[in-house]
Amino acid sequence: MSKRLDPKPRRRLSGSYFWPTVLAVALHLAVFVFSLIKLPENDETPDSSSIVQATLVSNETQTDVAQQVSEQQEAANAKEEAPQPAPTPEPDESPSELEQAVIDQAEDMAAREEERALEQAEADARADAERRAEQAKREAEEAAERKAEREQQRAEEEAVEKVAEEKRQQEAEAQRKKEAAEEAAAAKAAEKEREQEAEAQRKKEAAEDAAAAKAAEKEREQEAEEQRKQEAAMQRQLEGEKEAAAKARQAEKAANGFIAIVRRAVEQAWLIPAGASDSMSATLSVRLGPSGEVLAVTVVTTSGDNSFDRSAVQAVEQAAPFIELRDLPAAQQSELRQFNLRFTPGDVR
Amino acid sequence: MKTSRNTALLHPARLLYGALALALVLFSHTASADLTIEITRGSDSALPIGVVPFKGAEGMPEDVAQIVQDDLERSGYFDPLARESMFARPHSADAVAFGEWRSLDVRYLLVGRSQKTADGYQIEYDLLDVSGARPMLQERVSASGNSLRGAAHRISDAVFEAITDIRGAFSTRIAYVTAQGVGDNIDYGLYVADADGHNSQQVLTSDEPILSPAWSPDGKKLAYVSFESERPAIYVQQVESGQRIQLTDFEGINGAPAWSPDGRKIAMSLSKDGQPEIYVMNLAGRAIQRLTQNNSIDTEPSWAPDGRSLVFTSDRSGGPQLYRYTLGSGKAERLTFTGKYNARGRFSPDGEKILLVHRSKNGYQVARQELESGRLVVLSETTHDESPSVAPNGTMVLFATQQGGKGVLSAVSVDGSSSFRLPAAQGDVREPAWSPFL
Amino acid sequence: MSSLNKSSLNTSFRNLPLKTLARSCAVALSIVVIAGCSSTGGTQNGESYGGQQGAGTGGAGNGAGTSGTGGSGQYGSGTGTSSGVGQQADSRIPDVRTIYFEFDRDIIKSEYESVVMAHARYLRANGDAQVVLKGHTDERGTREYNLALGERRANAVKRFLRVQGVSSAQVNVVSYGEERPAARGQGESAYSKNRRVTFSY
Repeated sequence: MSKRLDPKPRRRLSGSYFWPTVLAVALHLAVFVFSLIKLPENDETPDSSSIVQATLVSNETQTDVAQQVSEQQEAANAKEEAPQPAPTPEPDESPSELEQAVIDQAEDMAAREEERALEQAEADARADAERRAEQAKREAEEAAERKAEREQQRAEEEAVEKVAEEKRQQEAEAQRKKEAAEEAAAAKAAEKEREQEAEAQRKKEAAEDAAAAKAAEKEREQEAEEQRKQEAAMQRQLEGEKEAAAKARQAEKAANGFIAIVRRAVEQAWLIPAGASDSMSATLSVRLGPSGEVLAVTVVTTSGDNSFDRSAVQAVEQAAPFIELRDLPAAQQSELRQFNLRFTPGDVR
Repeated sequence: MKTSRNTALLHPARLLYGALALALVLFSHTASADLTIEITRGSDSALPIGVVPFKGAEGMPEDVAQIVQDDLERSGYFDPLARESMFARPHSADAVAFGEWRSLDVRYLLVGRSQKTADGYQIEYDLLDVSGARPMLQERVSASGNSLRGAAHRISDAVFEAITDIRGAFSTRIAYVTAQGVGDNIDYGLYVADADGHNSQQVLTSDEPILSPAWSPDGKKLAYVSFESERPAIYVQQVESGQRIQLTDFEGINGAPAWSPDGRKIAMSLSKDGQPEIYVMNLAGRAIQRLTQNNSIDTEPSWAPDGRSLVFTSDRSGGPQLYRYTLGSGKAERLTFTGKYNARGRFSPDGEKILLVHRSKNGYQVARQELESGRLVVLSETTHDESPSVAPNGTMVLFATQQGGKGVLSAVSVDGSSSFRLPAAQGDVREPAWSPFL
Repeated sequence: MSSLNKSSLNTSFRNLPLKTLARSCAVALSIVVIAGCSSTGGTQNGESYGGQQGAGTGGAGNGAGTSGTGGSGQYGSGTGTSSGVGQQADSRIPDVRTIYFEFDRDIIKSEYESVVMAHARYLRANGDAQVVLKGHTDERGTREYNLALGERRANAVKRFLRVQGVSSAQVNVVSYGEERPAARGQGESAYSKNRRVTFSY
């Protein structure tokens, strides 16, 4: 950082320097104000970095240090302002040599003094800052130490508590075990009692049963005798029935076969009229002759539509004769020569 | 331990016996006359019928049996046996060997004989139920040489009704518009013909467009739209005499005439008040009553069979949809909600369905909407369809479509199961209208 | 030293504000100038074409209808539109007498506005002249509904003409719907030629 001294005037004439001075002072004030505003926002060094260098030690002390620095600068500025020169020198008189020398010397001295004062201020500030820094450091260390201590203390306390806790738990456990054992014992005792009672009861009942059984036994034997007689009779009947049933099943099969044939033939022959609605239904009664020819077909339930009824009749007539009738066993034949046909196209179409 | 001891009633052997007995009883019961076999399937095929060529057909100007056979086939209800497959040609009931015809799976047989008379012919015919081997009809018709086709159609009507219980529509007529030429040199014609397209008769020719022919309920007059005055105007013309009157001459569109079921009023679409609206004109005094009032297009009115409401096309919801206007309440309610284009609605004669043009993802097709359920079913297979017109017996829908770049008339059954195409005329044919029962 | 720094600071403070001020003034001035220039360009097509034309009107700044040639070239009337500017002679019925429409739409497309404008000028200039606007549709859909659609298109043109000051006594509207197609057949190339309004004098 370089120190630059503004050129000072040879002579201080208050009149000619009034306005410049005022302006200069005003400017200095403005800058000062700006520098003040700026400083709290950032940690950077202020505009005139030549005077002081402040280094951050910790957050806590930041503003303190900054404050210090600004104060220092204030002091420095104040010192500067006093002998404030104009920006341009105005030599309106040529001084004598001696005067010049004295002025020079005085200048030098003043300059050197200033230098020293600045240095001193700098040093002070630095020292201050260092001291502060150190202090801060020490405080921080102490704080850390204390913290550590506290933690250690806490840890110890915790350990102690843990031990106590464990002990308590163990005791509780022991207690529980004891109680459980007692309960078990009591239960066992009760159980034993109950068993004994049940046993006694059973013995009693068994005796009673035996007596009753004997009496019943006798009765049973008598009935069994009767039963055997009946069953023999029934068995004979049953055999007869079974045979009949077998025959009936066979007949049923044949009949079903014939019915299926009739159904298929009529369905194949049935031409459903175009205007038939899905809800129409007609039932015909059909009587066949011995060779399966149609003897009579009558409309038992009309569909309400003549052409629909007619189509049903025609279907039967067209499907006949049902010659398979002759293949049925005689009994079935007579039964199946009369049946109904219900025609319902429904939604199959 | 004590075990309860009962009598032998629940002994296993006894239970078995009881069960068997019960089963046998039941079985024997069902084996009695109350057995009901359920028939739940059949086929939708048309009825096989044999129309045997009539005796005395040679030398007659028309083959009556062939006309009947074609009528029955076009209806979609019948599947006539080809003449080549007939092993015999009986002409009366007592000559029919039912068993043989049954083996061909023919259900019905029509036989007949014609005799020349002083002023024409007399035709006797028998309709026979082959499966039941019994006669169904025994009738006779007489006709002059010129009206043999009409006689044949009357026979078709009788056969059709005897078997299906539906009144035959073979003796009705159709009206249609023809257009020949290109650009500004098109010749237009309005014609009427038999329902099978024969015997066409010119009603009007013009070098200006003709549209929307509509039969009066008595089948004697046609209302239509003609541009002959360089503007669309509605005319009413007597079919027989050709006499006609101009019914309207309003500014803007005069279109879509529709006769009320009692024949006294005509509904129409007029844009004289700013945009097309539905009006009803009383034919007696020519007074008009306005039905709709809004900023959208309202057109193509058509009366319900009971005369109490009309279906019409309106794009008040953004695109054309069908609405129903009830005369008593003066309110219109929307009918169609399927798709973005539903137009030109026509009531079926039973009042339960509306036939219309519906734009599907395939194109513009004839569809049927059931009023009760709101269900819409596409009927046609073609995709440039217009102007559906329902047969008076409700079985078929006649409409205009395109085939090979030409306008042709086609018909599809209302249940969608069958269709036929009318013979293509010269030029384009469009705007069909099926007459009422005549 | 602080005072030296302060003095140098003084001089710079005095200079800097001036420069900044001058600079910002210059910038502001130039912005103002630029803005003034660009605003004059937007209102080139000052005439309003009526509210119903939803299609962007003068946005492309093609008042003379240069887009007309591009759009209507396929319809064989390309030369007509580009000479629209040159057709100052309002004593002649304009050559182009057909304008075309999008499917199911009655909006006059921007490329045809010049055509309608030409007819408007002619009709305004010749108060005795009468025009019949004939509206058409393609053949899809039902016939009577198409009659109504054709009328809508013709009415749209009539409204346009009236907004341009043409008396409605000079303009008549007739719809042919799908009748009298200009092109036969199916497919968009035929359909697009049929969706039209023609000026018939």
